[in-house]
Amino acid sequence: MRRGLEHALNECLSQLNTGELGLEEVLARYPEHEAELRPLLRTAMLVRQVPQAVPSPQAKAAGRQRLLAAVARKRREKVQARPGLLRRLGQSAAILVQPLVQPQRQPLRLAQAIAVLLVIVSLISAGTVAVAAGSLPDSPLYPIKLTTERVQLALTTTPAGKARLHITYSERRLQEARTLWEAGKGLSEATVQAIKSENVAARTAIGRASEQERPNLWADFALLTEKQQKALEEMKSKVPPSDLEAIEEALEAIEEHQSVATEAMTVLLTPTPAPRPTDTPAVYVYAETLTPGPTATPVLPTFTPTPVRTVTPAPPTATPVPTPTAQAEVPFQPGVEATATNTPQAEVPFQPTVGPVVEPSPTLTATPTLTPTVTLTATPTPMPTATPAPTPTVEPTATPTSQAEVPFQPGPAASITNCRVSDAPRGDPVSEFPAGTRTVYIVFDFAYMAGEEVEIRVYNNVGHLLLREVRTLYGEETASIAFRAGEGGFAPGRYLVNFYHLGGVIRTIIWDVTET
Amino acid sequence: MYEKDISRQEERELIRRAKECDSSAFARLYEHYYQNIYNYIYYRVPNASLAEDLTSDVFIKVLESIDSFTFRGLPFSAWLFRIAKNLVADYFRSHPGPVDLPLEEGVLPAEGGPSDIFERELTQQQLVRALNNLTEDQQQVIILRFVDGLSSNDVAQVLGKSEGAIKSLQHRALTSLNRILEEFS
Repeated sequence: MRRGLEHALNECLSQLNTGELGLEEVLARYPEHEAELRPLLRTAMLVRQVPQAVPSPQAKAAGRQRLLAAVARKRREKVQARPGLLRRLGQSAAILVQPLVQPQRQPLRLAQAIAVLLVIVSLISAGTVAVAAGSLPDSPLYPIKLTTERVQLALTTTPAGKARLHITYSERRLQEARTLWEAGKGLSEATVQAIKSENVAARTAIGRASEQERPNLWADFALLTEKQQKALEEMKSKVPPSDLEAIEEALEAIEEHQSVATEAMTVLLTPTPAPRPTDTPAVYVYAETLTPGPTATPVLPTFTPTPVRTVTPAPPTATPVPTPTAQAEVPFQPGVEATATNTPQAEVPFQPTVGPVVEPSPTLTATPTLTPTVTLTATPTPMPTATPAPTPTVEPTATPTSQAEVPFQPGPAASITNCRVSDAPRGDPVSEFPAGTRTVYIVFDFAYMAGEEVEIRVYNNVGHLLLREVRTLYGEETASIAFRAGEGGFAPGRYLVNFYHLGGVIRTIIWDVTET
Repeated sequence: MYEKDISRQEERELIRRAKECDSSAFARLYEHYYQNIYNYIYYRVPNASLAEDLTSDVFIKVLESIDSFTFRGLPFSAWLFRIAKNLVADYFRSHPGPVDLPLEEGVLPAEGGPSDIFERELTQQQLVRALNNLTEDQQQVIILRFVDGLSSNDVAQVLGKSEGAIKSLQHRALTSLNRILEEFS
């Protein structure tokens, strides 16, 4: 009898769970148990209706970062644990040498003897390489180490493989710098420069890697820069003043790499929030690819001086045109380094992914001489309003035990909605602006804010940061930020604006400035 | 049940990639299961920030153990909940002390509206207090079955019991919870 009741209860719960049947319909199927089932089903339904516990977005974002950092660490450990080239060579040698050291059933053939000799020569060379692998910049064997690395790099064909190697080499350079520093030999400027070069090369290679591989690579790169930052900060405190400048410069570059990597990871790994009903569908939602616009005339002067574009999967047969406005889809990469040296003013044809790869050189850091022409006139920051920030409703805690602490009950959540770009302050959404447009307004509505920050970043189609604006928000209002270009207005092309709140991108909007 | 739909095939693929330490696969699994794991822990530990910390620990544990996960055993979701269950148990082992709220101290404060609790909505706090008066197994079955929406078969896998035992436990848990809520009102 009891088993029958338990079974009926479970069946009723499953049926209610489908949502197709109501309580009365379900109960009607088990009239013999109705009296017992009714209160139990009501209780189950009551529990199901309890609002979901809401974790704080900060905690969730922090948990994600923690997990991804741990994933990157584990991946690095796995890579390092793989048998190296030398070990594999040794294993192959052992197989070949075996006939020499074990009794032979057949006489040793000439070819086999030659092979064995070759292996012995290889092993001697490999031995030298192995010794060189542990050498430091002040060792005569160090050039062999660098040459081995270059060879390994040349033999690696995929951008992802190259990126991994550059990350490994950069880490190696850091280790060398640290070893020298710990031995009281100061900090070799050449090693610091090498770290910087490897980082630039790694970042460039990541930009060329496939979409699937990029998240892992960015995560590895972010982890690398984090390590470098910690190590260099530590060394900075104990180096002679003559070394300080090199470290400061390296730290500055590393910080920039780190922010690019973190941002790229955020863009690639954070699910794009579904458009809210209040959002205007007319505005594009960020997609993975952007159509390139001309980059020769950057609309704003404040971007980083490492110009140019990301890998361009344009058909190899395509003839580069002076104003590449449409043909190729360029994956958006915030701040991805150049694949070739040029100046921002030059018209640069798109480079196909296949084809000769020009390694970035230190000359990439040449500063474009553009004078600031953009003024950002912020609209008045919304002042604290009389609207009190909603406070969590906590029930009286008459409970004496600390374990019975009442959990956090979230109040109305702070929100940012209706993110848009417009041609008027607080205007309606516009997704396409005519050539010559001088001002674009970035507009959004917010509510239940209590001194929280929202950050707005605008990029052009090659990922240069054009605007970075942080607003502290109170209460409920519509914010409007005027983004002004200099004389001549915005250059034709595509632009992207990211809205950051609580540590993550909450909205991305793309707009175009059309050709005349 | 979960944040976004994920097919069994996609889940398999994500787990295969996760075993290779693929960040985007982990990010997807995290997004997909975070809310449910958080729900489960939230109702089992004393406060929300501890629930957040332990939820984060669950995913770190997943990363550490993913190599040992095989599809022949538990479904992945059940495996996750089992990790969460063990972490909560570890927490209470390392923080011993009274956990259950005695019934007489768990009486809900008077609120406006109908006196019958079944005529108004049950809040999270009310549910927490009511759950505190159930046995651990009963708590687990209520949370997994009705808060997280697992099937009785999945609950059986998480708790390592037979489905028949879960049906029985579910019956006892709902009977006790019903009695407690009536007393509250």
